[in-house]
Amino acid sequence: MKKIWLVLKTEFINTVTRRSFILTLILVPLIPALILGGMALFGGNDNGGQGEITQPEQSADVAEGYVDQADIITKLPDWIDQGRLMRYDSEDAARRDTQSGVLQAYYVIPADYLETGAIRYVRTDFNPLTAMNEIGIINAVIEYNLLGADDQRYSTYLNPVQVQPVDLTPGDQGQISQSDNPLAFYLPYGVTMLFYALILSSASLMLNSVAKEKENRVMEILLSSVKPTELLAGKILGLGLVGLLQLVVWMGSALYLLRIGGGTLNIPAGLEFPPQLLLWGILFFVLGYLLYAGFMAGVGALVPNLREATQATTVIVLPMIIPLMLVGVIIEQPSAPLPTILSLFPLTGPTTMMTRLAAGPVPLWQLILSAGLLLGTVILIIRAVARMFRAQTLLTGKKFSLGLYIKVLLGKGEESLDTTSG
Amino acid sequence: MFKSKIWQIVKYEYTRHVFRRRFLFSLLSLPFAVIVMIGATLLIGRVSTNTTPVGYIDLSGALANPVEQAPSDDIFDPVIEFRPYQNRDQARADLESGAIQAYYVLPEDYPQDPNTELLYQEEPDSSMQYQFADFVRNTLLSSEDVDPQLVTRLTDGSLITIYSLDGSRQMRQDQWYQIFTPFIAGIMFIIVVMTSGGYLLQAVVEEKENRTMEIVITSVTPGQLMTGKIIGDIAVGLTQLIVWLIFGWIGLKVAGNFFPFLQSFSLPSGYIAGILLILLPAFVMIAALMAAIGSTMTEVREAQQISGLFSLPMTIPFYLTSSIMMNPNGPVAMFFSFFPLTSPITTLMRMSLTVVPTWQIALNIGILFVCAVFAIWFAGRAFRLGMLQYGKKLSLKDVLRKRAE
Repeated sequence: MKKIWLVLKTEFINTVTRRSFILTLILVPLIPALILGGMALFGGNDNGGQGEITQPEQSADVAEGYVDQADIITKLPDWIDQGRLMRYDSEDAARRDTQSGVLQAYYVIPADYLETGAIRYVRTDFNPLTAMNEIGIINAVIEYNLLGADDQRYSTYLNPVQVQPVDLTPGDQGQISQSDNPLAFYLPYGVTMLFYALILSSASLMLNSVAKEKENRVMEILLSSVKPTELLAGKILGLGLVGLLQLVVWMGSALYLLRIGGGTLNIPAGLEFPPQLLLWGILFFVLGYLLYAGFMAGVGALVPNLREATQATTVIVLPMIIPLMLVGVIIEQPSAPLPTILSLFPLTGPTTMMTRLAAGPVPLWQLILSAGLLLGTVILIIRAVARMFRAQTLLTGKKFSLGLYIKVLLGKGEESLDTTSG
Repeated sequence: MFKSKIWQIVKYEYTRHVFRRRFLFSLLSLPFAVIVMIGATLLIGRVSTNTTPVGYIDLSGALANPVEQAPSDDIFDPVIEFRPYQNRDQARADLESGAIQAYYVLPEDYPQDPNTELLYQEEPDSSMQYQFADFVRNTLLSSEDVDPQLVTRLTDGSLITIYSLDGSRQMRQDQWYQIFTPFIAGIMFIIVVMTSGGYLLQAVVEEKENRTMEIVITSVTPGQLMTGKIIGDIAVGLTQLIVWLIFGWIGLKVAGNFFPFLQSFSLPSGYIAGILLILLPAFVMIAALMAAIGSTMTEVREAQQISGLFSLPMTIPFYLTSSIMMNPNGPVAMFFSFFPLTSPITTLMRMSLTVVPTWQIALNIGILFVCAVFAIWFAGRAFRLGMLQYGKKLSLKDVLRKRAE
């Protein structure tokens, strides 16, 4: 027990005092902080640009002209702001006013509009992104006029049916949709990224530590006084603590940033992290960390040097990347078959489950089943890796291959290592 | 003589990286990841779309002559059949038996009173509801006696082409993908630069570590060695890029069969030339900086950590996307487009969004060129000084202060 504690202490202190660790610990929250600061600093000069992307409808200080050569626009609807769209009889006049800054842009509706549908939209700053937001207005005005400038017909055309949903499901009523909350949109993405980064970074600390000690032969000296399993346990716990430290620092600074930066990002004041999410998050983090740290320790025990480890880790990390790639799909339909399978499958489970939890409610039995399966896998992996942590494996200089890794993991490694030891 | 030595180094560097399994792996992993992602999305989109018919009961008679629904060319949006029902009981029975996924009930004085009930057991997705709205809209229009040309125009909508005031830039509304080109080009640029730069870095440190360098340097000058290595590195990066572009092109052709709008994919050639002119010097600059780091560091791992710090400023423009996009000629965008490490991506973004004054583009390219030349000089110098100092890291001050030789 005492030896485990010793290993734990050494690992923790060694990692935490490393310069690169401190750098990442500080730099990661610093980047969003800088961006927030920059936005606050330059925001004033930005023409209030931030709000525009969420409110594409008529921005008040925009004035545009139109030249209607097809004689389509007979009347502007009442809901268009005064001065938002101005009629011009010739393109030259519109162009002159645009050059002098009276207009930001003008439209030309050519005489053959009805046949082709083509409209020219001339903008001072070109910017297609803003343009896409603004063209809603002219399209609406044209549709309005094509329908004979009749408010009633236009509104029927826009919304042919006012749907009154009636849920006929016998029994319980469905969940209330959370899509109004802007947090509901960003939270799953944030949680997924955070989870991925945390599990991966702490698991690769493990790989580094084992492979490095193996490479510079510290391992040989260590093994003369510590049992391999004690060494493994100490490392897992020590580096796990490092991961938790990272979690606490990053989450803490994220919450702090949200608080001070809330105004800049238009985040509502009453923002809270769902406590249930936090609890499950810690559980799945611990399990996910144990699983991947176990895998990484196994790789570290087998690779002759650190450089060769990179290739191996790519394969191992792959299941972690899958949920990351599918994050959009998972958030869209958290309870569809594929996300469910992914969240139950131990290797992809931790990240997927967290994404699903952040995106919506998950049945309790699935959470428990997923955690249970994960726990079972963790126990199996850690036991297999502990077997791997033996002088015989640790001291061989055999070249690493995935096949060898799997064989050793399954406990059939003796022969494959022995035959080549000479 | 001079040429052939550089050429040999280039060839050695190139073959050494390109014909390795690791390179092949990273080369294929990106297209593979993209294919898997797209495949999964397609699959899920396909599986999750419910194509069970939807019923409607029309109490008003406004939908007496329903229009035929046009076949959809979007595989995400398969046509859903809308079945008329005469009474609620029949529709209810079909809903419960699963023959329809939902049914609408239109009120007696329908167009005046638009409140329509939608009855379901499991909430239908929004794409079905849009289709029904389209269906009702088209039916209403066709039953009113309106000029067919007007109806086509209404249903097809207009096609807006955006022009800059001086007429030098234009973009049709359905060519929106042009906006995303700088992002994709930027991401690819960063990946290519960082991976091939990483190879270069590793090669330099490794050769320094195992003292191959000392032997090599007896027959070539440090300048030649550095130039050769940098050119080789760029060739590796370009190989990667070209392979990806070929994959992308094939992908576009294949995807064009599913998404018709992709068939007309094209980018203005001036735009592409601009991208190349900006990215090439930036690539040289970063490669040279990597070589410089490699020659001042003593351990591969340490060197990799430092090189990671480069990708940070390079990605800053992505973090600031919103403020650059909303105001492509504003102070933020201007500042970052002149700073060498952030300028490639910032300038690309600005170019796609607005008319950047020519002098600014020229200035950007000029700055990048000067920086590239300076970086090569710096790398050669750092190399000369660093090679002889084993076990000791060179600081920036050392490289700049000491006069070599």
